Order: sequence, then C-alpha cells, then structure tokens
Amino acid sequence: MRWFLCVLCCLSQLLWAVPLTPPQEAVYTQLTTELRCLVCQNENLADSGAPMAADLRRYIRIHLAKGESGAMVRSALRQRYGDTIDFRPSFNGHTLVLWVGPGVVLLLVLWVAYRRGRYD
Amino acid sequence: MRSARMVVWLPLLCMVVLMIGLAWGLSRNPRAVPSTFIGQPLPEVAVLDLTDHRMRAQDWPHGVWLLHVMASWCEVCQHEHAFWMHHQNVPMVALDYKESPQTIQAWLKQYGNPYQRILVDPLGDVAIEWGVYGTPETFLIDRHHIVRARWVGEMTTKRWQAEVLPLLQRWQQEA
Repeated sequence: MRWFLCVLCCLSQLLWAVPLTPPQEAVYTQLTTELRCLVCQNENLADSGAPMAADLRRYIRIHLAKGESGAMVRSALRQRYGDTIDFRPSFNGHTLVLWVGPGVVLLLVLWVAYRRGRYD
Repeated sequence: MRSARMVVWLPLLCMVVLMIGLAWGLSRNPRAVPSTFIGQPLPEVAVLDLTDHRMRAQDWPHGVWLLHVMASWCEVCQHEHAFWMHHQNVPMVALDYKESPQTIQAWLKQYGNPYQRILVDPLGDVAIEWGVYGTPETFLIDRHHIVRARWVGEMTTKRWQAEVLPLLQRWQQEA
C-alpha cells in the first residue's frame, strides 16, 4: 500500500507538476496553440511531440503559475526566439512586407488592369 | 503607343523579378531562426559549471570566445566533436544540454575536451533563456560579452572558414 501511494504521488507530480487556476489554464491553452514549436516548425507547442516543445510548455506553465500574464509570457518568449515563435506575426518593420505586400500587389494589378481597360 | 509597347515587356520583367526572388528564397535555410541576442549580452541566469560553481560575469573567458550548446547524446555533436578537437585556437565554453553532469564528464574523458569550462543544463532551462532551440548551436561572443553571431547545426571546415573566421578576426581586432 505504501509503495502504491508512493508511485501515485510520483505520477501525480509528473502530470500536475505546476498547477494552474482555470483562467490560467485557459491562457496556457491559448498560448500553446498560438506559439510555434521551433523544432518542427509547422506545429504549435500544444500539438508538438518534440522534447523542446515540452520544455517550452513547462516554461509557460511555470511563468503563468508565478502570476505572469499571457502577454508577458508571450513577449518573453518573443524576446528569446524572435517573431518566428508566433504563428500570427506581429506588425513591425520586419513583417511590413508580409502584411502590406499582398495588398500593394493587388492594387498594382488593379491599376494595370484599369489602364489597359482604358486603352482597349 | 509608346507606353503600350513598353507594356509588352512587363510580363518578362515580372518573370525575371519573380525568378530572382525565388532563387534567393531557395538558397536560404528557412528553418534557421536568427538569434534575438545579436548585439546584446545573453540574459544573466543561474547556471552551474561541472564543479557546481555558479557562473558570474567575471568567470567568462577574456577576449572573444565561443559558447557551444551541445550534448553527448546528440549525434550531430558527436560527429562535430573531431572538428572542435582540431580547432582549439579560440576559448570555448560548452553548455551541456539536457543530460547529467556525470555523463558529459565521462564522455569528454573518452573523446577529449576542447572546452575551457562546461556549464550544465540538465533540464534545458538555461537553453530557453538564451533562445536555444536545438543542439548544436555555436555563439560568437566578444570581449564585452556581447553576442555577435550564432550558428545553428553542425560546424564544418567550410562554414568555419567562410563564416566564423572572418567574424572571429573582426571582433578580436576590435578594442
């Protein structure tokens, strides 16, 4: 019995090493679905089986449990891994072409089409 | 009329631009994530070396040095090890990623130790603080503890000569 309890304790320690409140748990779920695993770059942290993703999940758990907000944890990770870690890239100098580029190309095409239309 | 004739060349121009863009894109490694610490020091964290000494700023090598994130279980690192054994002209510090100090100690005893100091990171926490996402990674750090470059993946003679040496010389010359 004592042995069994010991194993149970160890298991529960492994599974629930860092307990979170329900709102924190929600933030945790959101963060791990929106952040990229840098090892298998098409997967998010929640789905990835890579050991590195498990480490990052643990990192997020520990910091949320300390009382940090989701935004704080996200910006801390972005500071360490850059924009790449975010599946939804932030709007800044580096990502300007990404966000504005398609619109500019579309406008250009429309403009050319309009000009051609007038010639014909 | 003139501009109508010019327009004929537009598709060709677009094609050339597109091809140059694609050629550039194909020659890059999209998986290599640039370090966010280039131009700044690595964040200070509690990290121990093999002798259980907690590292402080004055413990880092003087002058330009390399921080090598590695592990004895990492196959690329094993393969790379011979290279480092032959390139000991610059101080190197290892960050032993996710393994026990005993394991790396035994491994280095067997295969040789090119490192001035070995830092241990059994859980991979330090690696996260420093923006590491795999092994091996090599950081070039200048005399003021500023990160100047980072290489992800295996270090080869070709890479060393083309990318590392020029930067190494540049930052060694800088006062």
